[in-house]
Amino acid sequence: MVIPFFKYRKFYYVFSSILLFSAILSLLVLKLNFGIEFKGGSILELEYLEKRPEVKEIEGKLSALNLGETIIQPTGDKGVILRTKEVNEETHQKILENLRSLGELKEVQFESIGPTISKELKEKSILIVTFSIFVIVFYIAFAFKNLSPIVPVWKCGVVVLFCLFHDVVLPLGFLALLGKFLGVQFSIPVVIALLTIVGYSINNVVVVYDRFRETLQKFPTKPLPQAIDQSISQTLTRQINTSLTTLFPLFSIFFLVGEDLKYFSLTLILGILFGTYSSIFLALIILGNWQTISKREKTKK
Amino acid sequence: MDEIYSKKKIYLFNLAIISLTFLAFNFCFPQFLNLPKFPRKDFKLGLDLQGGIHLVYQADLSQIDEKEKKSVMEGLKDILERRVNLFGAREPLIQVQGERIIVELPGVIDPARAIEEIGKTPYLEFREESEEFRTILEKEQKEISESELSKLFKPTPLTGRYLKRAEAVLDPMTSEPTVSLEFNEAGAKIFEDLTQKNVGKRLAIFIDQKMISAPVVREKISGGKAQITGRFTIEEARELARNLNAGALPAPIELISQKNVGPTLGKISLEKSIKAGVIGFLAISIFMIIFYRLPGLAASLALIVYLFFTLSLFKLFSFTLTLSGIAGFLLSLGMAVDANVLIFSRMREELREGKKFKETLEEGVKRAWPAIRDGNLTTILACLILFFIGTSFVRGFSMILSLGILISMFTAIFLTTNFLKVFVGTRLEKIKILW
Repeated sequence: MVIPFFKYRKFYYVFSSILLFSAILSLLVLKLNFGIEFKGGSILELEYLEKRPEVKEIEGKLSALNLGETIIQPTGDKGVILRTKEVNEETHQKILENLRSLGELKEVQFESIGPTISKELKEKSILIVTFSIFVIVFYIAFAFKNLSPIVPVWKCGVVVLFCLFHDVVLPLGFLALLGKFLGVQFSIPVVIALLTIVGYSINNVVVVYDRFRETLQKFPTKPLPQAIDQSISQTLTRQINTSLTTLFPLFSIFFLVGEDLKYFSLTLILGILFGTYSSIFLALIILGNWQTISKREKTKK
Repeated sequence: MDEIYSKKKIYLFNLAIISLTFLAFNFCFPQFLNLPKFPRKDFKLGLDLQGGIHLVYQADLSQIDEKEKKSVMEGLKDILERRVNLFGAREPLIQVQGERIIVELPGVIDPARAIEEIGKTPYLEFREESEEFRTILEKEQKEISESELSKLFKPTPLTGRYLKRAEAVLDPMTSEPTVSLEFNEAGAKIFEDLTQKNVGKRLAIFIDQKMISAPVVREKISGGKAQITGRFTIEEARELARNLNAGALPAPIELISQKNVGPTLGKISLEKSIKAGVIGFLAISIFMIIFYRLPGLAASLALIVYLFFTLSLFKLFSFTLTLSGIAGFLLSLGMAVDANVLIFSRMREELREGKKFKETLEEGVKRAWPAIRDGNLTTILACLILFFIGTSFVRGFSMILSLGILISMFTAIFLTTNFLKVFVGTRLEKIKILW
C-alpha cells in the first residue's frame, strides 16, 4: 500500500512551522530554567514525620538566614523541596535546625553546587554539544554519500540538519514552558537526552533515505514524488514500531521513577515523537520537494 | 542428512543458551530459587540508589611546587581516607581529580557528622615573617586589621605533610599545655634551614589558617622537633595532637560541592526503577508478540536472555549501578528490539513476495543488517563522546547504553534467528497467521 504523503506536504510544512515558531518564541521569551548544575545553588528535600507545616511558616523560619530568593515547593504528602543559592555546610545545618522547630523531620536529600563546579559543568556541556555537532556533520557526509548521484550530499546535509534542529528545538521550547510554569529545570540529564535524540533521529532519517535510494535503483524511471511516497510507506511500520518499543520503557521511567529521571525521560519521549514525525513527514519530502523545484528551474532555463 | 545435522546443532545451541540464561538469572537474583552452592555476589549500587554522601573538595595548591602537586594530592587522599575510616564509613571511595578530591561515603551515615569529622583534619603550616612585617608593625602600634595580620607572615614549604608525630605534653618549664611536633627526615631538614634563615625572627605556626603562636627563633634547630605553645587548655592540646596524628593536611581544602541522598530515597529509587524495568519489558514483549506473533515471541525470549546476560555482566565486573545507568539500561531494552523490528519487517516483505520461510529468514537478516549496523554505530559513537567528556551521570548512562547495544546486537540478531530456525521445515512454517 502506498500512501500519498507527498501530496499533502503543505499541511506538514504549516504544522511544523507553527510548532517551530512557538517553540522558538517560548525559548526566547520564557527562556530555559537552568538547574543548579549550571548556575550553582542548593536543593534540600526534607520530609516531616508528622505533618507538613504551611509554606508561610517555613518562609518565616528561613527569613532570618538571608538565603536570598528561595523557592519552597511542597512534594508528596509531607515533603518539602527548598531551592536556594549555594549554601555552605554551616548554613545547611542552620536551615535544618530552624525547620526542625516546626516539627520532627528527616533530610531526604541535599545537593549543593558551588560556582566553580557549575561553571565547569557548563563549559563541559558546551564542549560536548559542539563536539557532537562536528561528529554529526561528518557522519551525515559519510552516511548519505550513497545518495549522491540522485541528490547532492550537501542538500541531504542541509535537510538532515534542519530535521535535527526541529527535533531538538521542539522539546526545548516545551521545556522552557514547563520551566516557567512548573519549575522544571534544564539539567545535565536533559542535555544528554537531547544528544541521544539527535543520534536516534539520524538513524530514522538514514532508514528512509536508504529506502529511497533502493527504490530509485530498482525503478530508475519512477517520478520522484511516487518514489518518495513508496519509500515512506514501506518504512512507515518500521519507523513507528521502533519508536514505540523505545517509548515503552521511557514512559515507564516517566511515570514510575522519581523526580531525577522524570524530565530526562520526558525530553526523550518528546524528542522521539517529534523525531519520528520528522523522519516520516519532513526528511524525505523536503528533500524531494527541493530537488523537484530545482529540476523544474533547470528545465525552464 | 545435512539438514538433520544442522537442525540438531540449532537445538543444542538453543538449549545451551537457555541453560546459560537460567544460570545468569540465578546469578542475578539468587533469592528466588535459593540454589545451594551458587556463587553469591551483590550488585554494586551507586550513592543515588543506596544512599550516601558525595563530597567534592578543592585543594589550594598555590603554595606548592608544580612537580610536587601530584604527591601532595596523593597525600591528601591518604589522609582523608584515614580520617574517613576512623569514623567507620563502609567502603568509602576517595578519588583525586586534578586539584580536587572526591569523597563518596555510601550507606547509612549522618552527613553532617561526616562533613564535620572530615573538616576536623587540621592543616598545619609554618609561616615566616614577610617583607612588610616590620613596616606594618611599626606603622600602627595599636590595632592591626585582619587583612594586615594576614600580610605579616608568608607561607613556607613546611606543612603538615612532613609531620611524623604530635603529642600533647605539659611544658616542663612553664607547665603550660603544649603540643610537641616531630617531623620526618625531609621535614627536619626544612625546619633546620628555616630556623637557620630566621634566627632572631618570628616563625608563626598556623592551624587551619589561624595563627596559634609565633615564637622568636633563637637558634638553628636540628633534629626536627618543635613545640606549639598556644593558649591551650589541656583538652584542646590533646585534641589538636590527636587530630594532627590522624593526619595533618599537606594543603588546605575547601568543600565546594556536596550531594547527599537519604537511604530511604535510594531504596525507593531502586524499587521504582526495577518496577519501571519490569513494566517496560512487559510492554515491549506484549507489543512484539501481538504485532509480530511467533517472531515477536522469539524476540521477547532473546530480550530475556539479553536482560539476564547484561545484568550478570554488571554483577560479575562490579559495575556501579546508578540511576542514570539504569535509565541507559532501560532505554537499551527498547533499542535492543529495534534490530528485531527491522529484521521482521524485511521478513514480512519477503514472505509477501512468496519466498520460502528459510529464505525469508536469511534475506531478512541480510537486508536489515546495514541499517542495524549504522543505527547502532551512531548511538555507540554518541555514547563514546559522552563518555570521554562527561560527568558521572553521563558516564553511567553512556557506558551502560553502549555496552547494552553491543550485547543486544548478538541477542537480537543471532539468538532470535536461531530460535526461529527451529521452525524451519515444520508444519508451523506454513501457518501464515503466525508470521
